[in-house]
Amino acid sequence: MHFTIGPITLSIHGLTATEIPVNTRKFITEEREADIHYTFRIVKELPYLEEGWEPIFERPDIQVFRSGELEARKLAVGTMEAAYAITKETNEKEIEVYFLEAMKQELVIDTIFVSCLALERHFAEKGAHILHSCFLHYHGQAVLFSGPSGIGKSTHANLWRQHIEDTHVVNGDRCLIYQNEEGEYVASAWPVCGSSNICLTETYPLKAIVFMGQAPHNEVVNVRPMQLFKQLSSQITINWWNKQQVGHILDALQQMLGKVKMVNYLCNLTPEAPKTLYNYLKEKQWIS
Amino acid sequence: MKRIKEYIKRNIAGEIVLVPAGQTAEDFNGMITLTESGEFIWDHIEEARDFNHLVELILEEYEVDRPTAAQDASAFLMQLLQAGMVKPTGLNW
Repeated sequence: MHFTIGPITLSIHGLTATEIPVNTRKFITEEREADIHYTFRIVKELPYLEEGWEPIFERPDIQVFRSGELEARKLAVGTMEAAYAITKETNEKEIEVYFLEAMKQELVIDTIFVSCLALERHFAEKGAHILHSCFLHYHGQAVLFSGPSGIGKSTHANLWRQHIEDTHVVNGDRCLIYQNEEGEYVASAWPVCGSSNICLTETYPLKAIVFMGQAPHNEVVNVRPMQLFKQLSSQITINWWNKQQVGHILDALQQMLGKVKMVNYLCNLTPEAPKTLYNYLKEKQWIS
Repeated sequence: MKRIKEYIKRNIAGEIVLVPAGQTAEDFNGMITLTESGEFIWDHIEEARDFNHLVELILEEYEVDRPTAAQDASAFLMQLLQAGMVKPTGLNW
């Protein structure tokens, strides 16, 4: 099976389409040259990593190992005693995924399946980054509402849907950002969408990233580039353990900061909330 | 003093930020903004033989009096120590 997600094509062997999440299936494309090849092996017990894999990072849900430039991961739900997969790069383009047979039915869960692909690592190398945001389409353009969970990204996007014409949500939780062949930043579909359950495979020119906040009133707040940089990097998926890659990503985000319009917006839940922001974006000619 | 190495420094529109990376990122998932003198201290802390030498280096770079330089350096050093971003290499430094 081949999948194309933004600028990358993946090939996946060892699984059938019905064994993977519905949202990932939307990205299936015809056979073509793939950038990365995954081979899934369903196993009764997870294998041990051979000597030479050095542990470099650990959290309750992930252990990361390195051997030269290659990476291996042990993935778990909550605690390493509940590990469900080992992923191991055999070279820079090929990855073996050992997945526990007892957990096989969980493979259809978006986050479980996508975690096995370590996509953010490979996308970052192609200059593509995953932003925690509600991805809104307006009139052929992308506006992203970003910020911590529970801040009201989806709620605000729904207000746009209700009160501003020609809008819909493309993904309620995540969005892929990269520069297309013309060097233009685009927002693109991502196969994980959180509880929103909205996961469309659409791509639009990225016009604005809006960092959301709650307030009794509606107010666009212009902040210093440093604050935008901190907000942006806190909502981008980054493998912080990989110092070299972190450096490259920070450079890429700094470049994005200079080219993509970003602003803070404090708002309430009234119909005026989307209209105030809409008027601002129109007035500034960030959206047309 | 020794810097805990796993920080990456970036200049964002004239402001300096230290970003934790590597295993450090797990312990402390935040960024630290530095003032100009903070950046100077961060850059020179390993080169300084002791606190007095650090103050000397500051005095060579900035037009401030000794008590002010010492006070600033000491306050910032305490922050770095408390955040676990530097560690002493000897009994007094």
